[in-house]
Amino acid sequence: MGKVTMTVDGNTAAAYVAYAYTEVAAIYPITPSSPMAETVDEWAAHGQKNIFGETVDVVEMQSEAGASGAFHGALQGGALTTTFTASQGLLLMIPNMYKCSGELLPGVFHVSARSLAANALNIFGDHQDVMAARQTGCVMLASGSVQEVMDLAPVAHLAAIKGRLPFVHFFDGFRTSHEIQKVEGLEYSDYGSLIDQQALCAFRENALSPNHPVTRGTAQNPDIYFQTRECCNPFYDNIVPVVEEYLQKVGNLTGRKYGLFDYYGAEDAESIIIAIGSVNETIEEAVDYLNSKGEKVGVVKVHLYRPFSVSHFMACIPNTVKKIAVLDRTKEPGAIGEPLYVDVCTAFKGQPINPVIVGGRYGLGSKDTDPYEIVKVYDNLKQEQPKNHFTIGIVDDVTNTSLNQKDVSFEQTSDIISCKIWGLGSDGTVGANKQAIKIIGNESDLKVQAYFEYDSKKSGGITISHLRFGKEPIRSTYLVQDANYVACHNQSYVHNYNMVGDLKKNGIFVLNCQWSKEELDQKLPARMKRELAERDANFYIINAVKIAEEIGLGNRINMIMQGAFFKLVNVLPEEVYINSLKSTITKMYGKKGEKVVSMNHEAVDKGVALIEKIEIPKEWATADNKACDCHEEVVEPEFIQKVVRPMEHMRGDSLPVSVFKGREDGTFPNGISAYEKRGIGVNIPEWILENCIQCNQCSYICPHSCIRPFLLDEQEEAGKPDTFGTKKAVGRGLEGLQYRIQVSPMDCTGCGNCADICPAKDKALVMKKLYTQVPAEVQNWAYAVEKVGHKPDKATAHTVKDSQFKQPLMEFSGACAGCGETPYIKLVTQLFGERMMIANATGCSSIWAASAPSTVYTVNREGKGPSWANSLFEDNAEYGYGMYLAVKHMRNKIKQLMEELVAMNIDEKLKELFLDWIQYKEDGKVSKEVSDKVMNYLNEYQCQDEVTKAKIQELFEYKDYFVKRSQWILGGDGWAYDIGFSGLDQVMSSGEDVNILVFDTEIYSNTGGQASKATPTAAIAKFAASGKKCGKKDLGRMMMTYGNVYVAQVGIHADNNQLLKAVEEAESYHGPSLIIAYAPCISHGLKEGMGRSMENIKQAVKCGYWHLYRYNPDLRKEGKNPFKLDSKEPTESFRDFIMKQVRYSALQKQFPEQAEELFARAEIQAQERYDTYKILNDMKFGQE
Amino acid sequence: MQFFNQTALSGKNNKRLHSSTPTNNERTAAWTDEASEFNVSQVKIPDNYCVEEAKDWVDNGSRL
Repeated sequence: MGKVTMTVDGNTAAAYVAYAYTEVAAIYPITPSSPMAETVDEWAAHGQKNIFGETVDVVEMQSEAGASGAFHGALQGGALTTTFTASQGLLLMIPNMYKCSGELLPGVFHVSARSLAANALNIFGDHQDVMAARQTGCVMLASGSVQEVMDLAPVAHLAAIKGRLPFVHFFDGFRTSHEIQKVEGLEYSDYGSLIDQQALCAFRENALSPNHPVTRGTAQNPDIYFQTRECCNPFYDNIVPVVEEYLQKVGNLTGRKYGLFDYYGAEDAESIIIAIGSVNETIEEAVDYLNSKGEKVGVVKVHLYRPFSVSHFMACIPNTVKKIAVLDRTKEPGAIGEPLYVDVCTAFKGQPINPVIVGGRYGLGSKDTDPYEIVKVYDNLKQEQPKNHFTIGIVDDVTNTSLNQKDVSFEQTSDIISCKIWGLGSDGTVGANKQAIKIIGNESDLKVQAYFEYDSKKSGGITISHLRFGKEPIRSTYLVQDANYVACHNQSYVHNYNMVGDLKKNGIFVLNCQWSKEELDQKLPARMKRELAERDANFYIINAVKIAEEIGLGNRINMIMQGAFFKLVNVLPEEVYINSLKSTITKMYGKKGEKVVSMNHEAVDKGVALIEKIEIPKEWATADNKACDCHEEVVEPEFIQKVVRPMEHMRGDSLPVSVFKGREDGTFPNGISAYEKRGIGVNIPEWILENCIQCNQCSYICPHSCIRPFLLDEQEEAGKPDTFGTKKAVGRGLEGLQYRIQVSPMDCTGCGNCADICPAKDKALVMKKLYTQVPAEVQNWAYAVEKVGHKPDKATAHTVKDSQFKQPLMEFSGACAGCGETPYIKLVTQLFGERMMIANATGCSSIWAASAPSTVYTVNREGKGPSWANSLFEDNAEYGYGMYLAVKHMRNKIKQLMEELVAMNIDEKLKELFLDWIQYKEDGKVSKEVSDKVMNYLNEYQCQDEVTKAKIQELFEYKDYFVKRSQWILGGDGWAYDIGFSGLDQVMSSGEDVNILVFDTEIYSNTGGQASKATPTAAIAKFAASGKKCGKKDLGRMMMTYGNVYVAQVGIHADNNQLLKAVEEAESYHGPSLIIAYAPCISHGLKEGMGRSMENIKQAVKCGYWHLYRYNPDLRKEGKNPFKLDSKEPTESFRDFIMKQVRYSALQKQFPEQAEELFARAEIQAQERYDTYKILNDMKFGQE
Repeated sequence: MQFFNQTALSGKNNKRLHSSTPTNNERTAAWTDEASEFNVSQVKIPDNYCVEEAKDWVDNGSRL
């Protein structure tokens, strides 16, 4: 028995407790809850025991609906069952939550509460999900901090067993789930000692069993349903004292006491706030400050939300209270008030005190709520008539809900040190800062806190680490603002982000840069120099990149920056932090060898020794130099100016609601990504004109559409810059034109795939440092897109080469460098983009496509391009099908109107055009030509007859639907094989003309690499930590069984012609089509680097890991075999292929005893698939 | 009241079109490590450790 101190985040704390009490966990990953399930799974894989001496059985289901079904079933089977979820996942569980509460089952849902997708998706924290489930009959227990998670999670499990009701234990997504704090838990023996053994026995005995069989889940009629529904009332009365009992018992062991509601503040408070969750910690800070100024305020913190015990609630309200503000972290449009506000108002009915009660919303989607905002709430309560239904944290200048308090003040009185560190995803900053906080927590008696902010760009993208430490408990559940220490680990950030703006006066600012001391004056932007001077900052620089290279660490700067951090922050004695850092390094990198360990040790030493202080020149106080070469005089489109640029500079918080007027439905314009020009690439391709064979393969495979062929006519050739070298274009239809391959240096990610695959005898593309290519290639790109453009009449689009002369209508996405998904859809947009509609499942492909403010689908010169929309995850096939149905209906109406007009007295030419339209209605290319002719003719057509005129006018109303649309449904394997499979299957069975493109990365890429049914045997993934045991689903073959579905399996660069044919055949096939595209992912851990991701696809086909085929039902009508196996007999080693990927090679290191058997099984399964395809290929059709 | 705003942006009037100043360069990202390179194309090959770090970032670091 005893306490266990650990420095962990809320998810880990919940997992720690849940593991103790769980026998079966049925889960499905969803941000931000996934780490709970992953942690439990990892512990189980390593044999950790729960309080019953068993490991937990963790099963990953196909969706949250499936997980909750399994959860329900496991409880009925007699196992203590837990699940972990959030947001949309919780909503999918609602039907089973009703079942579990109705059947009095003691399951526990741990929820890292997250917002719900409405006009937009948001993965961050608020209470919309749990509030949407508040009527299910589950008990709802809220934790407001990482320590509370540790203390209240056991109460949920224990009370569930004793009280026979399921619990939802929830805490704020990200703010609590991902915040790291030093907390105390109990030993598992303590958790075990608290179980009500009698209640547990009763649960077991009540389980379904053929030995004492019963029937549950009967269908009931009006005669008894109401009565049986009311039977459960005593359980809800009884659960309140049960929860109280366990709060007491757990509190006796921990020393921390909680009530169903807890009050904090002045005993004679006149104004109070009532709230749930992490904001209560911030409110306590504000309460302390205001009370120290002589005010009388307090806060009621809600823990037990359902059932809502009015008596316990009233008991903690001081009877001096005159005014109350209720803060809800959810939004219920159309309601009188948000849920907690309505509950509080109801609770006060008939009570002796009758305070003024107002309600407000805060923190939706993790909008930061700092003490200033809370002080505004108290200030509002001072008004004669406080504002009701207000918002805080935003400026609402549309319906004017925001509180307008000005001149509010707040002062942090504690000695907490706060730090804000700007890094780049995967540069090691976040990991190092997590270590730093653990070191400080373990090596001192200081309290610590770490929280991390990210943007949505995959692989790369900004990270901001918010660290705090101090002697007193840290209650600041908001982002660091007034920092003692700010560091920038990426020098390119100085132009875009106001980093020094967060620094306290005399604070420390550290910049990792390759500039010398003397260059700083020229390189730093004026704003930064002024702010450094204004704040009298202690400014340091260090060239961590150079130091890392010299040590032999490549570009790993994290330990160097850690050394600098500890030296400057001065929170631990030097020998203590040096020893801790070095022993952490030894533990982390020991398996990688002595050399790696000693290099990292040296990195720490150099970070300490080589940090250089810069004296800030007096002139910086009035600096006005322009360090960035943007053309500020250019008047950008309004949306770019007002929304995109502020968001790019991380000033989106300041945007008022009115900026989004006209976009209330969530609509964003296409084509925003072209405005970013982030300069991500370190090395970018240089085109060597004389070596180029004009195959356009580089453009074909480019994941980011930033290397393209351009054709110049005489005039364009004459006006080109001197550096814009061209050569005579080669190919039919290109006579008289000049040719160039042009790179966009500021959009290129520098993956290197183009250079790698260039088939020219002497490479026509070589990777060079970015700085060698600018500014010349920047100007050349501008000339190419502005003056030259794409020449669609030259692009016949039936060859790989010609397809690339068409403008890609998907460009500059936020996908990882070398992404395997993007080149496929880019090609589709080149072929059909001007008439495409896209329904996109949630996943990587929705995140790289449309993380606000960036949108990657764009338009051609006619202003036409793909429309794109994301609904949810599970419903994507149905969503796209719905779009198709709507368009089909409209076009049938057009057909009907045209048929009616043909029967009327209109001229022959018009009749002919209408009949042509009707005949070619379903032919995409021809319908465009005919539709143009119809519209041109109708625009000039004169008609006297009123009835005819009216019908023609009606026809015009549908003009947007004249051209046949190309309906595409996109998503990853997580959607297609798992959560969206039933919808995909339904849509494929419909026989309708829709096209599905599956990006098969063989894992859930976006949410952190969980296994899907597309994951092959032996691959390591989350929930397949010791290698996937079962094989990969053959989705293509399943869909072929319908007989009328076009199916293709493709691999770009493995066979570019086959891919092009498959895409064209699929789109032109008048029925459902499915294309499954192999997509390497950074999560595969390609040892040759993502610069060889395209080559990886080729190798996959060559070794028989992936197969290429087409199944075309139209061929059956010709008496031919519809199935064509396009990939040849494997010639390369399967084993060599998989061992070049960490997802496989790690199995050999971690589970060597299983690896060989699994690798062999994987190869056999791949061979069996190929053998089956060969049989299908060789089948005889239509022969007598 | 305007019911919709469907004007796509075409990349025109972009103040960053002529800019050569990177704002988000990935010099220090794990996947850009340059342990070695292919001879002719000079495509970089990261150290195995960096491949693992890049994988670890998308699997565990970036919580999207």
